Amino acid sequence: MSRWFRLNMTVTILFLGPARDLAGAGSARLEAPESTTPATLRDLLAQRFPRIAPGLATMRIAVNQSFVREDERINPGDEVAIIPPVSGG
Amino acid sequence: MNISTWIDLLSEPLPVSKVLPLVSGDATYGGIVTFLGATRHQTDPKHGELLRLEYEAYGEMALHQMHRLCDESRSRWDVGPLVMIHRIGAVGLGEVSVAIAVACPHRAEAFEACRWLIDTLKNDVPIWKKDVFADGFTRWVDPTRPQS
Repeated sequence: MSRWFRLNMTVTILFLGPARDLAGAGSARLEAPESTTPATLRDLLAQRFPRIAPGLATMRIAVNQSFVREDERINPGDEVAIIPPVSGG
Repeated sequence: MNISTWIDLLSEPLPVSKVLPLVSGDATYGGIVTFLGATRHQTDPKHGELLRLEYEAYGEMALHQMHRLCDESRSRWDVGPLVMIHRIGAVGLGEVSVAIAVACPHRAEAFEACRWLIDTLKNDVPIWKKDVFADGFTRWVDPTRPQS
């Protein structure tokens, strides 16, 4: 394992709506590097949950219940949610 | 000073008769627009009649987003009393799944604000629905695929 990519924090991910069916679980704990952003999280998710990978590009990531930019830093203890295209109304 | 605002997710039939009293009666507001979204009948060639929809929400965030939309509509238009309620759980055909009502001084901004609120809700509020068909088949509604 490269020292540039140490996995040293645990992030709890919530899979909502259709993403829950694709992930096969409502939530998961994921080991992630300390400098994780939504962009890097997508790579980790695609590896661990291959069924979610094809649709991941259309899914948004919310941190602490707000949509965030792809380069925003995720911190230990944050509530991270995978939000597939919504279909309310 | 508080302008009436009712934002909610409800797992029972939406009490639509309670909406109008909340957005009417104040002489400041001469234009009141309400939108009700209801479950539409459809038939799938393979799975038959649609029986119902099943809605679910990322509840807390959905409410946060609805409050954000409410605030943003008030910063864009002169929106007074506002109602935005959405149903969660099983919703039968013809039943109301969402109700939005706004009162503004004039009708033009009331129409615009109401239209913007329902359009933005459908894009930015984390709520999903599943079609449930007569043969038991269910599928998530994919908003990225055009519907007939």
